[in-house]
Amino acid sequence: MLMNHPGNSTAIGRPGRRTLLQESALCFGTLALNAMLAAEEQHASATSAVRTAHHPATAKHIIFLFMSGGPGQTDTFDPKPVLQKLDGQRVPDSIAAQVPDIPRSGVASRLMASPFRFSKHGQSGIPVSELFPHTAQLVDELCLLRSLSHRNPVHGPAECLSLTGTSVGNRPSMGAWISWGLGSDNRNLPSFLTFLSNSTGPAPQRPGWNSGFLPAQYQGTAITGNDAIPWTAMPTADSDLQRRQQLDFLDGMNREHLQRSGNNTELAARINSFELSFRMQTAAPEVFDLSGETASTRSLYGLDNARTAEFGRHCLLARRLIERGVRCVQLRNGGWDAHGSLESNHLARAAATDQPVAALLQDLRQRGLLDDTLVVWGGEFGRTPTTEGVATGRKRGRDHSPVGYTMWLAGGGVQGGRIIGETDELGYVPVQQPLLPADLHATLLHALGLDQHRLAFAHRNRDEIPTVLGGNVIHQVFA
Amino acid sequence: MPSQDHPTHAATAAPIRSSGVLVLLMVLFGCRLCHAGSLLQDAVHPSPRIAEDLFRSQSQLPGIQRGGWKHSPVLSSILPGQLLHSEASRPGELLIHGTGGRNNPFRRELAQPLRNQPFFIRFQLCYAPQPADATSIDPEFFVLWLDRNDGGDTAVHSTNVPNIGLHVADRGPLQGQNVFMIRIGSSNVAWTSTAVKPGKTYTLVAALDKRSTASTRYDQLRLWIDPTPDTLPTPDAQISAAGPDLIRWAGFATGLKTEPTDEIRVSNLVLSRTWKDALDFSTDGSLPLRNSDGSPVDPMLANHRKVSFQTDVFPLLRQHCFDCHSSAEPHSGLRLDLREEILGYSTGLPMAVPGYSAGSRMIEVLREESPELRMPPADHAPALTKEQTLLLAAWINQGLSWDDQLLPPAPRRTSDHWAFQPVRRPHLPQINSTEWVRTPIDAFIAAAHEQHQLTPSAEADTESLARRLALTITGLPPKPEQLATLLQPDGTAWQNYTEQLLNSPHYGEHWGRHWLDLARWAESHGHQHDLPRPFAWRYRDYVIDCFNDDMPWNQFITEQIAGDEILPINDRQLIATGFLAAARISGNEMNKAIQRNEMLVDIVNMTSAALLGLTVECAQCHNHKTDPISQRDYYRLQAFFASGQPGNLALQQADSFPAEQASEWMPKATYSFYKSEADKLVRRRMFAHTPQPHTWGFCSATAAQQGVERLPVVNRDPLPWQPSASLSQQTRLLIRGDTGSPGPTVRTGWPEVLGPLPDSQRLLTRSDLARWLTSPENPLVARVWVNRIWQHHFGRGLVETSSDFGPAGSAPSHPELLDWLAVELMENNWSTRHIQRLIVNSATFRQSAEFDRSDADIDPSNQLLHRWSIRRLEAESIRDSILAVTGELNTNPVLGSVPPQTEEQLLQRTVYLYQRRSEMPEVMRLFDAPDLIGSCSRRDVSTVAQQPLFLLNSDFMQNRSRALAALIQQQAGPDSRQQILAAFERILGRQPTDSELFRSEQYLLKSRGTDDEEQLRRFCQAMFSLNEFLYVP
Repeated sequence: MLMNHPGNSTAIGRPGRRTLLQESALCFGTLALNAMLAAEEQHASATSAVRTAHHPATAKHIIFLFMSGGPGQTDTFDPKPVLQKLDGQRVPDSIAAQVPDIPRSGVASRLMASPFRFSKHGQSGIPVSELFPHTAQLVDELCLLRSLSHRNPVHGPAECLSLTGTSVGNRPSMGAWISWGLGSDNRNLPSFLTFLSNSTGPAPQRPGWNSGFLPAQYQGTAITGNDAIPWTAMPTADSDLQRRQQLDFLDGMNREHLQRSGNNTELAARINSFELSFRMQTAAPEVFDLSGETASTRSLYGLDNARTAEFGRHCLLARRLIERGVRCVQLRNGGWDAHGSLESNHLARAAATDQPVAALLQDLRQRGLLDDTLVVWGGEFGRTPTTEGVATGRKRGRDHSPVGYTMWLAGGGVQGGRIIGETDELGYVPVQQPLLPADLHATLLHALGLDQHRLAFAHRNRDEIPTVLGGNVIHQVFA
Repeated sequence: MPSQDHPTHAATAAPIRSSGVLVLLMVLFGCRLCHAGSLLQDAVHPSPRIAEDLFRSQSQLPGIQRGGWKHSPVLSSILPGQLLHSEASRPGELLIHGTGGRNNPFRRELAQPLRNQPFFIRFQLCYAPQPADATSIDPEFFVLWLDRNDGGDTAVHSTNVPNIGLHVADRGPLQGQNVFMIRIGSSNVAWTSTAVKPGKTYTLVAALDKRSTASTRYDQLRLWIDPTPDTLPTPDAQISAAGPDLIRWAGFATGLKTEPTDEIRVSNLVLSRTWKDALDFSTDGSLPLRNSDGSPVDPMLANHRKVSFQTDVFPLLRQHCFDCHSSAEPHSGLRLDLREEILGYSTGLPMAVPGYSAGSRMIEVLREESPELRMPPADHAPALTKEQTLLLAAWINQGLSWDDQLLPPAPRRTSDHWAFQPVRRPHLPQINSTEWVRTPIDAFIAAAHEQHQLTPSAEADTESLARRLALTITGLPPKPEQLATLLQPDGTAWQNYTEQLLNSPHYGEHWGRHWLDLARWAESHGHQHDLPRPFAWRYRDYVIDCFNDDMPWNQFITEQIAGDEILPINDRQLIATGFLAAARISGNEMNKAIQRNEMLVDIVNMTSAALLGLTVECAQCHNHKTDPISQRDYYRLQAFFASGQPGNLALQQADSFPAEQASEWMPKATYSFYKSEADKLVRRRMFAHTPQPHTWGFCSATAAQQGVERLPVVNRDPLPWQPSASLSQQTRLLIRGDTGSPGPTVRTGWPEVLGPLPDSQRLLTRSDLARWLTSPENPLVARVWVNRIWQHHFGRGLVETSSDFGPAGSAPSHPELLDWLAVELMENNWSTRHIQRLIVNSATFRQSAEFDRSDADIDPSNQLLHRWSIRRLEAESIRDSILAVTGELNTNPVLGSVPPQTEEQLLQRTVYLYQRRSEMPEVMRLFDAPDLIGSCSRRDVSTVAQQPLFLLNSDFMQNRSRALAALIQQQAGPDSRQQILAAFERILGRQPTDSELFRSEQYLLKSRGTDDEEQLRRFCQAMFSLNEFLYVP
């Protein structure tokens, strides 16, 4: 059965049911009521009604901490003692034979021990790399997925695969699917926001937060670095009162026009969108103004430290947005692509992100938000257990490895302190429960109460679903 | 125990003839003796053969493991090996030509990789250089390699890889002559001591083994030429060096020295565990067939009485299969009433392989245990009995006999779908309300009105009509002085105004953009790096010019489809090929076959959508499920484009620009990225900046031969240009759309259902395609274009799904009108403007948007056009209209494109803003511009909160409103009423109503006295945000 989705319709001239709107056109007093009614009626309006989930959800919100470039699994959450012993040697045949034939599998190169020590943490005793001393303290909240695997070793397509389900870049991102499927609890803010930090390259991968063939209002609003939501700042010469007067004038004029134009829900929705934009303009600075946060919160997220300030701010904003009912927040942190000097690269990336990530988990937990919020951490792939090229010593790095890598989940109904899946003794390929990006997608949707097979959008004579290449819910995550 | 057969010990062992299977097995499978199960299994089939390829046609079919290989062979898409004499019963030959570059024409993966077993490899080779009587010796390179990986068409299988073949000797007594060679890596080489005679067929046997059992790698390679059983101890060449630890693939490679005129024939390829078997040709072809799980093929299936098609098979098929899988529109596009379709003619994926029932899909689905996957489906009919299945299996094993009387071969596929019928001019309908009719269009519209008792709306007021006319023709609102002329009409005022608009240069800028959407045109390669295409804007300007010249539509299509083929070559036609060249090309796809195929897929999908209005993309992987388009049809279309590719094409007459001038039209960061990537290529000598004028276009190898010059391209890892290979390249149907599974070759052609192919032995070219597209017999092209013209005037086409005229698309609301317009187009020199005059002069177009309850009840979505439907402006028209109103629109010619850094300074039309796929202009992204990945036939209209935020808060809108406020103050002075009147005239093109005047005065006065200018700016900004301003009235 398909979702009957009213947000899908943008046709012009469709007969509306809202005579009320039209008849009360000139009465300013009913403006707020009308706006609310119009929003609830959902005719191509910018907000989205909260639709009924397919099944009881374990999470209402999702935060995707996307570590772009590919953190090495054997340096972060998948320690391999055998790899430490075989440093500098060839990949043993027994493992090499299992590595799929993909370009840059690195199987002919020499093994590289991780420069980082691991130690066990929490009640679960899960080992975490010394890269993440803060996150390690919360390891009992994490469910590690150590057996993610796909076959695309190139950043762009792999990022599309990880966030949209295929490598082509023309399908909706998971955030867009979720926004479309569930709408938002906050009508004054976008339902999906993406923050970009330490972005590398001139054009990070937009498909990861675009809406593909879904209506444009479900795309992630992208915010770079220290920016705010675009155009939420009024012209300096204008006051709030002047904006109110301007909107009232505009509204009166538009309603006269609406009356002349007969029933037109699209025009009505557009009238409503001005009120929404006003609310957004008021709400957004409030969200982005961190001055109300206590000194201890600010220091928890590392806002007072130059290395952690940017990502810390994004993490704190993520919490503030979730707190206000926003459905999806994606934090994209670039630069994990450690082809050379992996040690210094990963140290720098971890130094910028570890404390903020831990702060986010801790803060969500202490505010009782973690139960409702699914947090996902990981990149588009991992890195090879071998070193790349002929570099030596601390200059050594690793190439991309999509065939086996680690991600983790926390909150939102996920059972922490456990490990799912296993790679071989060197961390090359999964030997137990290999997982596809599509399995992760199905799982995220499931946690949010959405059934991947029923979340269907009619597009060009096809019912499109988020997991177009298949995928199975990883039920052990919740059990 | 030593054995003469075992390669490891053979050289040192005394020849002892061993007897008894067990003794032999102990040697061969010594390491597995503890494994009773496998020993037993091998004892049943004590074949020393590992794999064999006799280059017979049937051995190339996919399906079961046969001959010890995992799949069918992988053939190079640069230049594949060709099968000769490929009858099913006899061994064939593989013919290989050089390409002058590295090529791997034929490779194959073993069913089981070889790790610790020593083995022999045997093949026959005949080397025939052309011309054969050349006196000087032509140095050659040709090898068989054994490697862990395939690596693609151009992979170099050298480091640690055993090579066996022929090569020019670079030292020794035969220096400079072609000799047989073995090597492991390029430095460990051995040559034979006799030169290779052209035209002679040699048998080569090589042994690959390990000198020590402790070694993890193969490290010894020996070669015998034309061996006899007793030459084992005396190989002709021998080397020791570290080789691979595991071998999964075998393949042939040619190199720089191998020329296209050279012929190399290979045959009887065998991998074997024993010397005796490697030398034994009599057992070739006896390797047992295995199912994909490795189990032997069910012998029951192979031994059945002789079956009769007429009495045994036909009744079964008819009773159990034909309900769904027969005739022109079968389920899943699969039909069993045609033998060629059973053999996979249209998909490359046979449902039955003659002689091999166990590998046949048909038998698989009949024997399927899961009720959902079984055929016939469980909810439709009971499963076939075991006897019935065996009968069908035997029919397949016995050669798939057929009776052409019972089931004749299909005539050309036809369909009764309306859009595939020839276009004929219908009679004008008889109607009562003839006085309403202004152009013949109205007769068709009125007929439907009368039939449904609809009353058309009254004519719209002059102001709305002028605005509608100007916005749909030029994308800009009318100027106040033009409106004034219309308000005092003489008899020809409207006609004059229409002509003025159609002849304005802004017409092409607006209508050209509609075409650019369909052509998914952009100024960058797309994908991850999305590097710019610096001169792609020439195509944009070409499109704009063509509309402004009212170029006949058939010529417009022809130039875009075949501009590089039409002689004499000229700049305009080369620029026109930017249509095909707008395909995305990945900058980091190392698999060149995939990189090329993605580009071709993009071209086929876009061309079909834009010109034919068909969604053929489904047929890339399987027969189309809703349209009568087969997978073969898809690849026949692809074949038209296969010998060409996009690139920088040199121009003769066009303006020349110094390379660095591109910085003036690219976004800053984009240009510096482009420059750094270009510099990298310059250092690798793969690129050079040139002032030579060029364009981003498409040309084939033939066009390149005829003089079209290609210049290098900046992309991270560009698509290689290999004209000699492209010329001889044959398009192969890709099984399930996978470049790794090439199926049968196909010739150029259009979908069968759309019309017959010319009776010609000659390969059809893109010029032929263009001729067919623009022929009056083509059922789609004219219909599709007039429908698009209609859509861009009315907001919706007569066929709403304007790029899907197939059976799953929507039916035309006025089918006769559509055909009448299509004929009008063709009979009036394919003039777009002729159709537009008919439309904009019609009473239908001139109706008001007024809402009438009773008409709306009959025709709620206004499909029958009983009134005008208002619609939001497109992104470009919103920005351009604002600039037109403020008087700031800069209409000077644009040099290149306009980047963000000079946008505010130049203020030119939006169509000229730089179009990088990943970095589209803000206003376009915000107001639903297309994604520029696929062809876009109709833009969405979204309503998001960011739109009002942009209108009320952006710098762009503040600047425009401020400019307008200044203009109004200058024109109307300080009097607020005069200011309001001026603002209404400029922005909405009309006088305010009393209540609007009242509201406006109230609003303007609110902040009067404190900041008059800012309040007027706020007023103008609010007026720009009005729905009325943002909609075509």
